[in-house]
Amino acid sequence: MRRSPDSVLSRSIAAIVGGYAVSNLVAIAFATALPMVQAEAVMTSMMLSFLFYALAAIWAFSAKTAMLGWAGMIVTGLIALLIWGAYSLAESLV
Amino acid sequence: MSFRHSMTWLHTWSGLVLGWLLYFMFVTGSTGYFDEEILRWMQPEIPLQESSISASEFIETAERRLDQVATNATETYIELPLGRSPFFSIWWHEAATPETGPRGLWHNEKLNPNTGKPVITRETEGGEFLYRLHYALHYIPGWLAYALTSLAAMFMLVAIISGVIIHRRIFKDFFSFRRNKQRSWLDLHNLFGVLPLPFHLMITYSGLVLLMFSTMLPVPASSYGVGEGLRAIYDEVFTEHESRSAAGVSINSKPTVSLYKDALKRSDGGLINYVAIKHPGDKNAVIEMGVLADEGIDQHKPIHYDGVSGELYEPEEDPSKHSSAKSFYDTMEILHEGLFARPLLRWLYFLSGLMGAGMMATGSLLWAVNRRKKHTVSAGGVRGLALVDRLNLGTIVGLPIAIAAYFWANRLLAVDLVSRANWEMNSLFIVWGIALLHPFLRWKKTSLENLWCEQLLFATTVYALIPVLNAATSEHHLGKALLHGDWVMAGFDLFMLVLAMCFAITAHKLRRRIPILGTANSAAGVSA
Repeated sequence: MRRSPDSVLSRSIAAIVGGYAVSNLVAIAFATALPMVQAEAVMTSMMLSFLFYALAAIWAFSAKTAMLGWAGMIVTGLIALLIWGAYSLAESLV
Repeated sequence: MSFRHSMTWLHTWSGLVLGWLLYFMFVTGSTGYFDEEILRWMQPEIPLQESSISASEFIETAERRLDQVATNATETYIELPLGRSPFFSIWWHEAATPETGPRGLWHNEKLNPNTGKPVITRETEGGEFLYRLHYALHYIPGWLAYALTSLAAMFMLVAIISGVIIHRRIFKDFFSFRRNKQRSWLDLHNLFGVLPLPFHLMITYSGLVLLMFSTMLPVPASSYGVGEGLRAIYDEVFTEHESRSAAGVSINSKPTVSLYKDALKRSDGGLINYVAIKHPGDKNAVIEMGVLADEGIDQHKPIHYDGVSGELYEPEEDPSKHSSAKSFYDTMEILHEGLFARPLLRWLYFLSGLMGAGMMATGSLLWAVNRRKKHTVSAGGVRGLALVDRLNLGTIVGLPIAIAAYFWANRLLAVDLVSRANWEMNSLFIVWGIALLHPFLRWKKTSLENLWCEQLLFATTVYALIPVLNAATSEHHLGKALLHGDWVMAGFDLFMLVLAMCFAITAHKLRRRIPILGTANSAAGVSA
């Protein structure tokens, strides 16, 4: 089993830093979208965030290439941002 | 590369990178399940309770003392020497003034259970210090420690998930133990990892959840903002508001002892382990009796009385403190800390924690053994292997030696030493530093097996001598403790002997040149 050092470094950064960013973004999207009292939605999303983080890390290392790992995270992060934005916008309109 | 292969790779490297920190967290965290017992050993000034004194007598004695010292208290608290807690102590809270600070000040006195007079104990942080190490570390700011320990826990969570994926035959492997073969480290690693797997998963995840307000800050900040906003969500979720505040009208409170007897009847066979009074001497005084009952995770609710009439009193409950998310969080906290655990379960918690430490230790050893096996032919060996070998020894055996040093310092440092508790803690890290240096200093002079033997025999000695140290520096020697059924003191000494025996057995195996470190092919330098 051989891995180029570049790929390993890239995947590690994707898992640790990218995973942290993406799990926070997804949790924030959940916190705004979950139909619960605000404090409860925030608590629930925070407790779920660790599962998102673990999944992101595993994804970073199991994707075919390091670039694909990054791409998956960026797309997920963007979707989370969109959901967060849409709900925040809807709330400010109401 | 297949999914399983990449998971194997991830498991190996993520385990190695934070393996030592996780070993440290498992060892120090496990001691937390016996923090009160460790504190009791570290405060030998507290005498043994010589005759059986009834709880009502304890309460009356404690109240007499509180009448003397806690005249302006806003809250008083009597802890009875029952159940797990061997302490008979009183606490009282002084209201916030410029001198006592914005939150007021808690005072604590330990009482002699025979005379009711306060006992002056040596300054020590006891088991609390060891317990705090596992998430707050030491010498570095809290936020950094939380980030590091949470990152390690996150690696652990990923390692558990990827470990389960590697072991498709996890349960078949679990029942195979190949003694004295090259694979026995792997089998042992699997045993320590799989047998308490539910514990590992629970302790890792709940540990992450307990620190989430520091580590996952962006999530609450996105809805509440930072600073004041964060305090708002914390208040909303956690702060229990007092249901009754002081009226400012003085009146004599109902004697607590008669209420104690009433509470005992209502406790379903449980014991009353504390008596607290909110606003003592006020018209709105509330008396609270803590119930220690066998109810599993759901702790028995304390029984409340109106302090003046002595009638039962139900404080209003705030429904927002009982949302499902909050209940889940509370359950995670109770599970993590084992707050409900009676002796048998407490030991299981402790042993599961030690198995976690064993899993990390065998994992790190396995990393080194596997690489040595593959590269015995090439003279240069693997890059980093020598470093891992040395750090493995200095951590796996060095940390227990350092913890022993903490106990030794507790008894050997002068009782009136300035910042004594700090020096006890520094002793741990100074000795650990020496244990980490030892393999580096003697690396060229002797074999890896011999280095292990040296530290293991040293560990055996320092642990075996702890009961002797206890006999020499306190009146609680093992014989007396056993004779009086003082199980906290005796249990501590006996467990130190058990640990000494474990180190001795391991050293003995190494001396018989069983190639457990995988150095069989390069055994030229071994001299036993």
